Amino acid sequence: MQDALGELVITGCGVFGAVGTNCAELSDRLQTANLDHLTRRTDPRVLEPWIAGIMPDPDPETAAKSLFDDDTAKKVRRLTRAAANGPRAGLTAALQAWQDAALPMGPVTEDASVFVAGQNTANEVLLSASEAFTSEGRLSAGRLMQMGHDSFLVSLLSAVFGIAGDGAVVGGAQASGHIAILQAVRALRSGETELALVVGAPTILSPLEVAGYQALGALANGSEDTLAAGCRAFDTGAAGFVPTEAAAALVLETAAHAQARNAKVKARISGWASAMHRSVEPGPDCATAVRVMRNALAMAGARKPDMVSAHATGTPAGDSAEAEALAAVVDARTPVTAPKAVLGHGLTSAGVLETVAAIVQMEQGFLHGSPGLLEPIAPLLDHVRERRDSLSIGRVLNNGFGFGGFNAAIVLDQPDLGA
Amino acid sequence: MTEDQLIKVMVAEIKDLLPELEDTDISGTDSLVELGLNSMDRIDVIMAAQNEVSANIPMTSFAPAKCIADIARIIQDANA
Repeated sequence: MQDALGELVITGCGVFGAVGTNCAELSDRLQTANLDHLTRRTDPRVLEPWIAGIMPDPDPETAAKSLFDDDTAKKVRRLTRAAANGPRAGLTAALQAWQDAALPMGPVTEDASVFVAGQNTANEVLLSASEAFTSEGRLSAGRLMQMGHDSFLVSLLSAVFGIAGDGAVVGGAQASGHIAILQAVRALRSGETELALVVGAPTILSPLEVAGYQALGALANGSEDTLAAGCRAFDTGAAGFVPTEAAAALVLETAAHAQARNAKVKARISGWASAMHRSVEPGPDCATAVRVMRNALAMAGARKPDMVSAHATGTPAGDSAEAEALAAVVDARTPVTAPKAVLGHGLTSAGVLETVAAIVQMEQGFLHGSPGLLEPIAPLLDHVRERRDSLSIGRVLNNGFGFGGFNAAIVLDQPDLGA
Repeated sequence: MTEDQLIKVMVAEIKDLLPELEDTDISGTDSLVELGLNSMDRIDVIMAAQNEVSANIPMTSFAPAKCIADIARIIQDANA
């Protein structure tokens, strides 16, 4: 930001999921566009097989030991003993981001806040307890109403990192990641907080939820083709999204706070906008997508984006609306990437995961390819099909949309980008 | 399952909850509070024992329990 309210910066990133268990692995995945993290799933109650990225079991205790110390590992062990894989993954990503930001472990601060992206992320706990409740005829999970709240992850992060300021779960369907980042941005801008930890909680889809997505026709089929090519974002053959289990984390700060503690800045957040399009349906709205992108870019200043990180789920209606919106907002030479083509759709965590992916690409100067893009839909954009290297990416326009009328756009700048 | 076996299950749960008690001798006469467990830990210990024998006893029934063996007896009596 170039106004008196002060700049906002990102100083730490972390990731844990099927796509990779840290930022280096995420970078490899983006560079190679390797889709070996996807597997075929079946369930007798679900009509069709499906393709998904299933994360390995997270081990936040070991992460705490290797990134921090034995005391932190002990504390993490005690706090996560009864925790499900979702919060364990969220904490693992957060530990990486906290360490990446060179923040100390131990001191309690009232000037830090924590926001978790994604509602209903405790479904994993509730649905499995519900199945056991029915089959065994009794409750076996003593901590159900502790672990059954998706806000458990907020509490866990607050307890581990000594965050004593604001805390909340922020939900906006598949735009939750973007909306949570914007919640943090607004808290920082209001002066209420100086540092915000934003963690995208993974969506760990149950067979019930997969069946629900299939009923909507939103999920890609379980064919060999989907397994090999992923979701076909912006392709004429696109037929649905490919879910992936991933947690991601960011540390946001006021630039003044980062400077005062000599923190290395990874990116600046120079513009943002979010808006509803007055619909309860899953479908997109091109005009509102245009509005949030234009407003976010206008806030950031005159410079054009060097890259778009599109929402692009591989769903025909969504991809078409976004392509049309992008054709109206950016010029035809602006490279457009579709992170879900390589990573899959993190759903609740997607916005945070893709912000980490954008920062990785800005830092390393490359744009990832799109293995499933063979024949682009109209209108034609500069789609990045094959990886592009040795680039200077100064500004990224990062989109996120969600079922039920959620639209958001965030502009990320390289830290040394001139005004 | 005998009372001793239930106590063994609870002692294992207690040691998993509080690794610092790994080398401590814990017996049926020990009190959870005196061992350093809080009220949520107590629920974990009681649930671990109940799960072992698929018992379905209201938590309020355990209010009079003063030690680990008391918990085992309440489960045994209810399941008898």
